[in-house]
Amino acid sequence: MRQFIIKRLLWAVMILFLVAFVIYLLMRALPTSYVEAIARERAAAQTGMSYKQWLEQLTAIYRLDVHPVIGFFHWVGNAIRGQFGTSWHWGVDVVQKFRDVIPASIILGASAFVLEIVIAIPLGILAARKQYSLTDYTVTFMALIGISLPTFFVATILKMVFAVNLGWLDLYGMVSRDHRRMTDLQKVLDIASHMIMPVLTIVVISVGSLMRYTRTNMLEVLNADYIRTARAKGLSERRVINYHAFRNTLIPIVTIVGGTLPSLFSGALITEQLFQIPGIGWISYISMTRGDIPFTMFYLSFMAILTMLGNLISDILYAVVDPRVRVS
Amino acid sequence: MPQDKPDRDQMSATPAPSTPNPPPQETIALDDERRVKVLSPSMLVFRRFIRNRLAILGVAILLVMTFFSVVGPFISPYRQDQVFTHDDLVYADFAGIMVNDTFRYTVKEGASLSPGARAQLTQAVNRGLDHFAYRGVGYDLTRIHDEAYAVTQNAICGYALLFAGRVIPSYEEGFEPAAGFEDALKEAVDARAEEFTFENATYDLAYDDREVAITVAAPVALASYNVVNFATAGQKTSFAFSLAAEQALAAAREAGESEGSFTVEGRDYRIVVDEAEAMIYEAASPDDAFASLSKYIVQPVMPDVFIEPEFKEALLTAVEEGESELVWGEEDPIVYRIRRENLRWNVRGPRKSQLVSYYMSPSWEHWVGTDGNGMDLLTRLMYGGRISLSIGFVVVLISLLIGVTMGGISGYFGGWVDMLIMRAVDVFYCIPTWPILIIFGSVMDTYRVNPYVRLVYLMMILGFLSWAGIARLVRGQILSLREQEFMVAAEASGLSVYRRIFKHLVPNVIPQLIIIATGTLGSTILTESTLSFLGLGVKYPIASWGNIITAVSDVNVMTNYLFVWVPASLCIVITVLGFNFVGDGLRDAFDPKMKR
Repeated sequence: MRQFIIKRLLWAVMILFLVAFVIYLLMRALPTSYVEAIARERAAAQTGMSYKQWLEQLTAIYRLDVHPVIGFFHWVGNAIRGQFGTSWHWGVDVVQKFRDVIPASIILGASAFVLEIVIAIPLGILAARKQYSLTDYTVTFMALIGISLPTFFVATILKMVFAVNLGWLDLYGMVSRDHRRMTDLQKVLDIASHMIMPVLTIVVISVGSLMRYTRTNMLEVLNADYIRTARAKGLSERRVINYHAFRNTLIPIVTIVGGTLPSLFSGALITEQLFQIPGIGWISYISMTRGDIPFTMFYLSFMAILTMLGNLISDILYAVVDPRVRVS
Repeated sequence: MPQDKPDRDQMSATPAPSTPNPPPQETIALDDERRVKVLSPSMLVFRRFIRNRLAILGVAILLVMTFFSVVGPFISPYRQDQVFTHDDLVYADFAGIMVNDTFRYTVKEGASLSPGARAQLTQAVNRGLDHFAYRGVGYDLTRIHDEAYAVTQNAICGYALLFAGRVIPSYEEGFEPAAGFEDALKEAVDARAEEFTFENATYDLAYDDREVAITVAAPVALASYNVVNFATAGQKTSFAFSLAAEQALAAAREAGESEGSFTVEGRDYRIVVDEAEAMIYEAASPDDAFASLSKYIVQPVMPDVFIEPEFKEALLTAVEEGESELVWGEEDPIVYRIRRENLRWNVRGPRKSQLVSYYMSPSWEHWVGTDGNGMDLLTRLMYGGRISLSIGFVVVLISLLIGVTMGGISGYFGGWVDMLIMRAVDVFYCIPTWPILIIFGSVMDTYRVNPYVRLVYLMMILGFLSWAGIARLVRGQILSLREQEFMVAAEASGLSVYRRIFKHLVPNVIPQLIIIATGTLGSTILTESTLSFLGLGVKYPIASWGNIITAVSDVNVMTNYLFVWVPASLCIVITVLGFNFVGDGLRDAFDPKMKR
């Protein structure tokens, strides 16, 4: 087991290195629009230097004058030591900015994650138990609709209903205008109320797949021989479902859910942008559209690590949860 | 026969009517070709598929949406970038009303009043003098009323020679004495009078030996705050008319009456005095206003607009009463809006102008309404569907092409090739899709890439980012398939590698590929629309369902113009739902043990 994990980890590092290289090359191959824009801006401000001079100076400052491959090794060398440089757009240390914005994303992701599990797994199991019933069709239908909904549509409908028509919630942002003057309890409630719509949006669009996954796996388990055996030996239906079937259904579900754990930190790029929640997603969105290479490099590598971690966790969990895998 | 019923569920329970019934006396074996209707595997899949109602619904949705997007643009009478305009009444500056606070001059025909003299005149009036001089010429002022003065100039109109007790007059050019003038003159000269009066005019006489100079106060001009407006466009007032009108006005005001009359050049006029102005009617046609006299100047903004006296009077009455609106016109009344600006009044009237018909509600011409650019939404939905669907198909095609090739090669050859390709797949798996798409989008924004070129790039990027999953799936399938007997047989019969991979292995992966393709189609449409919604995907003027909805970021559009974003959103939802229904149905049909 340990050997397996170590091997996988080594591979993961190797792949990450490659991913980072590809991303770095990509970023360098892109036009350095940010530097050009800044140079143009400063040259226009009559600082006594021409656009060309500014461009040269800025290119040197931002280390864009070295060969991409050498630049990449520079970057990797710094990144290993935890130095990702200063963000061009935000003007602060990349890691500092990340620390500032990640809590919002974690709150958002974790709330949505818990809600998803609480809704999806019971409903999926219910649908599987009553296969071809009205409940089953409703659940399947709802799941499919959830999968088919574009994020912005859900967000717009929610905004329209709760923010515009009912006026209960704010359209954008994570805090109210008078947030600073609130007591601690009020502050928590304020943030919570601003999180309602984003969390709902994420839940609506992503609950469907987990629901369907649960249903399919439960069906598979219910058709297994040991369930038939359990029923044949006269166990109560409740015991069959809760004890024999549910536990076995958990194997693939735990694997999948474990795999999605790292994505709690990745932020919801689109949802955060739509609701202007200052989490890692929205901040990265702004950085990316502005051409802020240090922040974007950091974010992309971070995302790659999370994906990698997700795969790793689900592989390991699979082995941990299912004894049959361990034996073979 | 009932006991011989075929035991497999998939075979039709009742024999097809076309199969000839065997003669009853003949006994045939259970697996006789004539009894067992063998269905091919694909037929079985098809049968299972069409039994699934949701899947059929999905197919129906997709057919309708395809028809809508592919045929629709040909049926639609509009182009996708056709901007619609309409004529509408827009309130624009119609006229300005001012109170005239300087003298306006009506100069007598043939006479002249220089600007210098005019300045002197104003001064004299302000000081309360009744005469003034300018450049050696004396002028007299005769007050008509507080705001109107007649200006006269003393001019020599003739001479009279005294010869042997007789008076022989000779006149200056332009002076034509009326009958009786000479008698009056003779009488005055005989009496050595300084002046005499004849027909309202006073003549001064200056004696010099034998010659007498006759001077007369000749009217030169009328200085008044009032302005005469005629009912017929282009008509100008004459000195005589203005003078008579002013005099009649003064007379009426003095007498405290509201009406007066005067005669000019043999025509009788009636004047009705109001607070703001006086209306003048010709006696011959008392119903139609002939002219108006007032110190309010109504100046139309457009040079070709003529303001009738009646309308002017109504406007002035409204102004006097401090109204903010005036309804004018009998057949189709027009509402004019009056707004005061210090000493001016601004009259705004409806003017016809061509407007872009943006955010028009659904109507017969535009079934879904128009968008923010005044383009027909239904047409744009059709074109947008075409773009969204074709992006989906092209992207799936690209990713299938790369994925199947890579996965096929990797799975079949194994070894270092497999290892290399799989690591590439891992790398692609880890590259976050959304950030890359956003970065590419904003870079293309910076470079202002042509929208059509951009579309191609978008398809390629989307396709290139989604092949990894397909490659992994194909490889896994092939790894398990190549160990099976039929592959051994294929190898033993000496088939080429190409044939073995693409004719024997790949067809066995096709069910999974179809399922994954339908799923990818749906998700690609979602991705594309979200990207276009963010403004980083398909760009104006090309329509796509996503960029039609972009308008919703304006809260005003979100709440007031539901028809702009709801239909496009529904198109996306329904289409993706259709793909998902079909994908789900296919999954069940290909893999029956899962569901049935």
